[in-house]
Amino acid sequence: MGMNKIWRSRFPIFQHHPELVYLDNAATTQRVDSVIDAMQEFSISENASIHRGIYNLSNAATNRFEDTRHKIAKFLNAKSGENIGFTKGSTESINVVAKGYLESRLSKDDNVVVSILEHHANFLPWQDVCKKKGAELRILRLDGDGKLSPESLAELVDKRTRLVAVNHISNALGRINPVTSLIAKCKKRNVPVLIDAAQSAALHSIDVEKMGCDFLVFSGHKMFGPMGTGVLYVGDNYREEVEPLVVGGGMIESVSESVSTYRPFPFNLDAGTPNVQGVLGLGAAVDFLTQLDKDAARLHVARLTSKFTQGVKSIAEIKLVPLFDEESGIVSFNVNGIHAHDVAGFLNRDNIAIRAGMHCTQPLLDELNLDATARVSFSIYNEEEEVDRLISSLQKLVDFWK
Amino acid sequence: MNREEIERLYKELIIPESKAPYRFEKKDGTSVLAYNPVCGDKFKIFTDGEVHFHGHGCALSKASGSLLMKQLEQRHEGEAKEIIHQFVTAVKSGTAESLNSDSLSTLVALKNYDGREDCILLTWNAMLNYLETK
Ligand SMILES: Cc1ncc(COP(=O)(O)O)c(C=O)c1O
Repeated sequence: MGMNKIWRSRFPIFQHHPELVYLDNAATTQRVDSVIDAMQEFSISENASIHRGIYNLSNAATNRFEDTRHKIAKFLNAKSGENIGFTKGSTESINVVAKGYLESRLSKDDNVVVSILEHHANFLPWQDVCKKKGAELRILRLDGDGKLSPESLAELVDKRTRLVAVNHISNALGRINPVTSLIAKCKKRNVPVLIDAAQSAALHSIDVEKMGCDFLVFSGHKMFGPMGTGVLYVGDNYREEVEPLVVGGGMIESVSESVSTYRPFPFNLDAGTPNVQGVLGLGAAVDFLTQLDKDAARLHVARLTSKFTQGVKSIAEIKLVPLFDEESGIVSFNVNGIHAHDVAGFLNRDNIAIRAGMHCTQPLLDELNLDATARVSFSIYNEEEEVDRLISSLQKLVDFWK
Repeated sequence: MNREEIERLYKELIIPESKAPYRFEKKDGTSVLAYNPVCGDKFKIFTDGEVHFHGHGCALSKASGSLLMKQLEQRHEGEAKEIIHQFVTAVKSGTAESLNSDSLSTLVALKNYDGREDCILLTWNAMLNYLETK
């Protein structure tokens, strides 16, 4: 059995839907069996509230919850579990940095830099705090060759720049950005950088020390783990400066009628009863990814991407948006004369699930003068035959629509 | 309705109607926005003089906009309101008996098949809202 077949066998959804060709992995990936097991196990035999109980079940749950921070720290090559905060997902992680760190430090005429390739999750929180504080939101645009260039970023960053936020892989186009060189330009000016790793955390090795970022975010559900889980990595230089958006039980140092003090990051993100079951599921996803041969996985995804992009060359009506890197596994395209929604709707009738629309990247599509695109995104469990089915379904659509 | 049936309706009505939509042209003057932020379909309806529309969206929303233009031709506001109201009610309830146009009945049938009410009613709702609040 090839690696791909072994990988696929770990995802129960395909036993339930043998006909399904699932090509919307950039939206959410399917869940691996060990994640499902870990979460079920917690419900069946480990459920207890954490950080409060003095009994065995609670202590065990607390230990496993806290161990997961360390596991994730290792996964990212972060210094310690104390750099790892738990959130509901990338969106919440970015909001914590925008509102719990940046907002109080941002003044009129300061600026924040984001790229034109950002998901709304990494655009709106910055636009929002800039508006509130009278700061400027600067946009790093694509260069002539369709890439984000470190030199252009260096031109935008000045002594009033308070933060730079950029994605590792663009969810709409599949562009892999040169994050390490982008970060290096900001370090020269001591500007903190947030990396949105939502699309790269699964198959691309992430080393926050080597990268040099100060903040990094990702979501559990895009890396074979559960929805409702996410991570906010904060480097040591900023750890004590991140404040919570939500306060309540479980994150305090002391409380009195007039003043209270909170525990530092990352524990200050855990107000209320946290999503322990989800965090353990996320931990299981990280275990799976730690054992996964990521080089082989990226190669597989790149091969499928290339098979698709080569294969559709024979269909004149199909226009790829040529700003993808094969190892992202993501490609956007349009079919001349057929709206992206109709493309996705037609493929759905052949049990092929793809995305159509603006992919939460409206500024980007405006910039590229596109109303919408159809997007396919491959993962480890996709197969060559699925690409064949996709291409023949697209050919059928073009013939039908004539 | 099965797949063959829906493909037949697309072939007979939706595709041709969306490829050559009626009164699909930008105009000056007052315009009404028909926008679905979830999917991005966006049309403008121009209401000065004979009604026109322009914009982008899926075949179903465009074809439906085209049929709206045909329905509104030569109508005064009272009639227009009545016609739109009748169609919106028919789509929402999934019953086409009250309609005297085969094309509009087809839209109701399509809504019953895959529930894409938002696409079908995008321009109609925008126009109705405009007429009721102006
Ligand atoms: C690049 C990128 N950033 C952020 C997000 C938001 O992630 P979540 O919805 O899990 O918060 C997504 C999800 O689509 C994404 O693709």
